[in-house]
Amino acid sequence: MHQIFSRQSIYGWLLLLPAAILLFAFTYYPMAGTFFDSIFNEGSGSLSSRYNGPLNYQMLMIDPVFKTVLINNAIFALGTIPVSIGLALMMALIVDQHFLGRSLVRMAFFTPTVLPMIAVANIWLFFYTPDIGLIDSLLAFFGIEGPNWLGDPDTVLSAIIVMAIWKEAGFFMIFYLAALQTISPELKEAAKLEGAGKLYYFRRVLFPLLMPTTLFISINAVINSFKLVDHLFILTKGGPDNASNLLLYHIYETAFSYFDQGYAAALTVVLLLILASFAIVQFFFFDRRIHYR
Amino acid sequence: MSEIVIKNIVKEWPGVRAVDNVSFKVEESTFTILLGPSGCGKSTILRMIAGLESVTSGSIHINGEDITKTDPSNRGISMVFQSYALFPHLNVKENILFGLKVRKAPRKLQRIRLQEAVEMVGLSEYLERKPAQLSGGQRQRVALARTIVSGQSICLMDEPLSNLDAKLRAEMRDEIKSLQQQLGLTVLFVTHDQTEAMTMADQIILLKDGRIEQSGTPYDLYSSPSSIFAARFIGSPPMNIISPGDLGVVTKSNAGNGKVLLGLRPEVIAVGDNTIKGPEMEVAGLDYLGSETLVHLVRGESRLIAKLSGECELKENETVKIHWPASAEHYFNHNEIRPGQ
Repeated sequence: MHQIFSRQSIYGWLLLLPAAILLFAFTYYPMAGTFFDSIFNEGSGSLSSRYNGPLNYQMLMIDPVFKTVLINNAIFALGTIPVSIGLALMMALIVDQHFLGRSLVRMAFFTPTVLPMIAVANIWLFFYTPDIGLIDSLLAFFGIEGPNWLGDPDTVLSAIIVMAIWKEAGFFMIFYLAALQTISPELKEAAKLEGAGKLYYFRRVLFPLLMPTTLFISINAVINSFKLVDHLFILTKGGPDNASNLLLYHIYETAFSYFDQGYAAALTVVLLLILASFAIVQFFFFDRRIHYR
Repeated sequence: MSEIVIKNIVKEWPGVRAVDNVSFKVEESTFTILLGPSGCGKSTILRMIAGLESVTSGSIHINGEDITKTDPSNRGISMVFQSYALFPHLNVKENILFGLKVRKAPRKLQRIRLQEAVEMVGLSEYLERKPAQLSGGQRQRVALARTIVSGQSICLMDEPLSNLDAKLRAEMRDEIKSLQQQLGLTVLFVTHDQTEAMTMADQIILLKDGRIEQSGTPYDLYSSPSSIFAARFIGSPPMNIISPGDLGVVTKSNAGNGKVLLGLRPEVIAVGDNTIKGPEMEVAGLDYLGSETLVHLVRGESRLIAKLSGECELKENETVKIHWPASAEHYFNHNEIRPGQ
């Protein structure tokens, strides 16, 4: 008979304890704390904080900036995720082959991942600088007057999406590359003997076998699309007119520029809910259709 | 007609000559085995025939047609890989039909071929299973079924039994052999296991260091090995190679030339007491195998293994006399070439 507090299970609980403490202190307790903060308004030196129920959540509904950042974030996610995953797969397929200078190409593809986002933002700031930046200089060479990429609400979000893809794809490539190397070359040879072309092999064999990796990457990509905002500090600060503002940056501004902790907490709860629902859908919907070895 | 002819085939990688000027012919509907130790080039030859490896020089002909540079899928061959190369995400049925689907065969044909093939290899109950849910022998059968549905009359097999345990291996040997005869397949089979070669082959091609050491029927290779390598590679335990002078015997060939080596199969040696006529040796050890006993004999530098049937009453360190019929003697030169060849 197994008892919850038998001698054996006490050992078990003790072994779990360090991890449990860390998880509780740094994940679950802050999550619960955030939720409580979101239903109290901010106290100050003279006023204690008090319960204000769903007020912060009602405010979400009428906050135009919240609506803008949600839409922006959706565009940012849709713009970055499929392209960076597709690019990652393509790069992995390229550097999985044998050719001269393969290590060099692998390194080149992976370099953006190693750079801190702040550094990346600085590099791209140079690319995007109006008139004297790299892109506008190139365009000027062909006699085209380039736009102010980061200053124009029409181009700023796309400019940031391109940069994020450049930063992310190399990281995802590593996972695909690792997965490709576990696939036996005999499969490719067997398919070749049966008359399967490269495309057929990719569609029917390689891609299905890479699905677990694709799922893992796509969950990460979704999280990253909500999490990565470092570049906004350097490039646009969310502007112009919130055209490049993203949810997490909005939370940051609300909490630390406007000092509205309660509202920031409510925004955070929304962010957590969005991420959790994505993860659940991806996990439960795709998991059934994926072959795991 | 589905014969394979290999002419002066060479495979070189930078600094290595893996296959060195090999020529042979595989007759239609026969079972040919490429046999040799690891690194002898046997798999490379098979892969060149399959078109998975390019040929440095020489040519490959199937049915009289030069296919040295033909695409693998147009060579009219099927192949069974060492690890079976089953697609892990597809079930047994999809695995078997993979090739027909690629070639867009009509559904009706697919169904008929599938039915035939799975009955032949006994997989009817496992069609919906994934390869991971099958045993080694069943996976092997899926690979065979894939060959059968392909309808190709030439089948290349690259050590397909090496991942199976001994009992299953013996079973699959029989099955593959009977399948080959039933379907009239032309099979080229790579192995390093001489038992497989002896039991299955119509023709054995023994390779060493990328060259053909000897080729012929199992009987030819066993009864008249052309070199010490061939003599010791085929047969278990391997042929004893001794210097007759060390045993103090005079044989018809060492009378004039002391350099000639004597080869004796372990089973031709009779062991007995003083009543038999022959050199004296000491029993160094006994391996009891049930139906037979291997007797290790020493005398000075010379060592011999004799295979006696059933139990034997010899004891270690006992001195015995040995005898063999003169007709069972093989002679080899020190440079491994048989005199007169």
